[in-house]
Amino acid sequence: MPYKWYTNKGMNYIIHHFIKYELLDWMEEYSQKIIDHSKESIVVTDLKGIVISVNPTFEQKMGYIKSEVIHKENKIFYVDEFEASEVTRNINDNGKIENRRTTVKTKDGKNREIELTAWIVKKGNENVIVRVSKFLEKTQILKSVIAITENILKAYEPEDLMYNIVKETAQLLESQFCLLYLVSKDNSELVLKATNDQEYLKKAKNMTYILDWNAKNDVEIDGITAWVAIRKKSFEANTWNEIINHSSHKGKLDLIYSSSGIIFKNSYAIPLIMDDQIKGVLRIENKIYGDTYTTVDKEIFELMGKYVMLVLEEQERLKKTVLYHIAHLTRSPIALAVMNLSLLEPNNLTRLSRFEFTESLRIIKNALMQANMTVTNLILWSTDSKGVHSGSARMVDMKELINKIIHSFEAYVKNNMRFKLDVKGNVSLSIPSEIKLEIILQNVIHNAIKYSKHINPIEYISVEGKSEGNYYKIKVRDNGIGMSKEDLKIIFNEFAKGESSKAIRDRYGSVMGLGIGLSSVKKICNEMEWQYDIYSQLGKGTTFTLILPTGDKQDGK
Amino acid sequence: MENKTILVADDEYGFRFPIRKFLESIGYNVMEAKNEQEVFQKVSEADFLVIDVIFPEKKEGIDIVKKIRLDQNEKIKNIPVIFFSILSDSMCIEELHGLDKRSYSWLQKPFEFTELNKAILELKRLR
Repeated sequence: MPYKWYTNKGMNYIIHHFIKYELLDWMEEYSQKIIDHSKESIVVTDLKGIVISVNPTFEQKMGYIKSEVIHKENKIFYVDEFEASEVTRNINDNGKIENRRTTVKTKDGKNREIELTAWIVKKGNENVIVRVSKFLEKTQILKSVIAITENILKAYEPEDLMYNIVKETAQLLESQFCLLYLVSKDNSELVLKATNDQEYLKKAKNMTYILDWNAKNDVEIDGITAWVAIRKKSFEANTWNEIINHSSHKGKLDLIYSSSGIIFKNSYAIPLIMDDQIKGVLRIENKIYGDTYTTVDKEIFELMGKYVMLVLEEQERLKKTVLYHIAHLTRSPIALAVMNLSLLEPNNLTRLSRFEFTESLRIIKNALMQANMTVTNLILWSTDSKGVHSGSARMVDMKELINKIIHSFEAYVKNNMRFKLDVKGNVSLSIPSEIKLEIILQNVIHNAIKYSKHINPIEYISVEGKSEGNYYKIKVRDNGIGMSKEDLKIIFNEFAKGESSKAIRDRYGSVMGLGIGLSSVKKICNEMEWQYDIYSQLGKGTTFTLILPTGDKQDGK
Repeated sequence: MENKTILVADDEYGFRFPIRKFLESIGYNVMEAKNEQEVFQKVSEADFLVIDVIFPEKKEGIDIVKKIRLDQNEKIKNIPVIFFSILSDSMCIEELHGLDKRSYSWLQKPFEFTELNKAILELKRLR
């Protein structure tokens, strides 16, 4: 996948700058500023290789001070002096060399790997060689990139991750405020947002992030053309502040970008291009650096872009993993059903007892129910529950409903499993969507069955239903493998499966699951404004409580 | 039919059950293992090992076989293995690296019982 924009390294930027402005006096203040701020080591020599000037990065990396090297032959920096001559000859022959790997030695005699790019530039009436070296060893920043990459591999928590990245970047920029956001591939939602400003973050969490890229309004601000994309409405702006004000006034997060990245007094924005399409915008606001940006900033922006790309790549990986799990989860029950059906074929040599025949049927039903539940949860997940028919609100007899669900599981559970049912009173509730209530209970009971230890002669799952004040509580309790506190924190997240209980699972056997059952439960509860509670102890079992409002106030208020 | 013993290892009872019934119907003695510990407890009594790859998760079934291949006991070490999985063997090339290809077969779920029988006979022939 070509990630074009971040291949434009700082060094190439400098080269581009010099080539573009070849006719400019290179000693001009602006050019000198770039050289002085560059993270790359820059040495200017005459055409024979005699040093004319060096930048601060050279001094820092090589250990020399300027006065020690001026008028010296640049071959003193090379491990192989002959190579120094060869490089100078090549530059003279071709006008430039690009990305040549070589080894230099520092003042204290240490060898360091570099990537050298050099070219001839006019300086007044004479030609000089500008030699830009990138040191290849891991800098502190690169180390942190690696560390963060490793973290991504360990855990996928983009928001926290991005927050840390922005915090670190703000520190690097010595800035008080950094903001980063990224829209999704189809531009319909915000994928990531991160800022080191807590207030902004709080506000951003409640925003709607719908963007309409078709509303392309070319706006010229400070001589730079930018596009402004605002939800379903085009917007004209003449200044950066107008855009900011408009955005905050409307309470929406808007994006401003140009095709090549725009620079404003206090901000910087670069589009993220993947597969030749703009996938998002990286925008950074920086209160310290004023009317310009330096190559140092540029490097950091690029670094941040790399982080973002890492996250995008991680999302791609996650997508594949999810599809793999979905395929696995649907294929497994199909395989179970097919192989058990083979036992029931008349021409099979197998002779089954009546018990075994029933056992086989139970496994088949179990498998098909598993597949059906996976599909239902996937529909819920992918459609924000719109894909599940809501039905219409009606009075539901709770005892009847709980009985119905338990009955559907009776043929499904193993012979050593029993339900203890305790539903008090004949309570009818007005339920907006009976189907969604059924899905919750099916998922919770299914989990109780799945996560039972399967070691006792008889395993019990108890289901209680009773009115308490203005609520009706349904409790599903098992004595299964339970969950740790760490698992409980994440178990309602999509694709989360308890990891810390792996040892317990090894002991009692594993279960199949994608980790969307409880996230479906959470989604429905949030939608219906139903409350729920979960209590669990590792190795001892789990109790899930669903709390439904009774609607008709029992206290007569 | 020789009275050979086959160890069927899968954490999912729903798979162990039909495989066991089939193998018994064609004259084998069958033992079952639902976790790694049970595999190591029973493998010394078995002539063949039929094992799920994702056992209990990831591709740990292959790791178990690799451990068996390091056993001091010649019979255990050389036990013929039939892997079965939702995955294809080409999805596990890296994990299978180092295992003698003549010492195992691969069946993808769901498979016909006749395929399982053929795989056993083929491994017997190769021994």
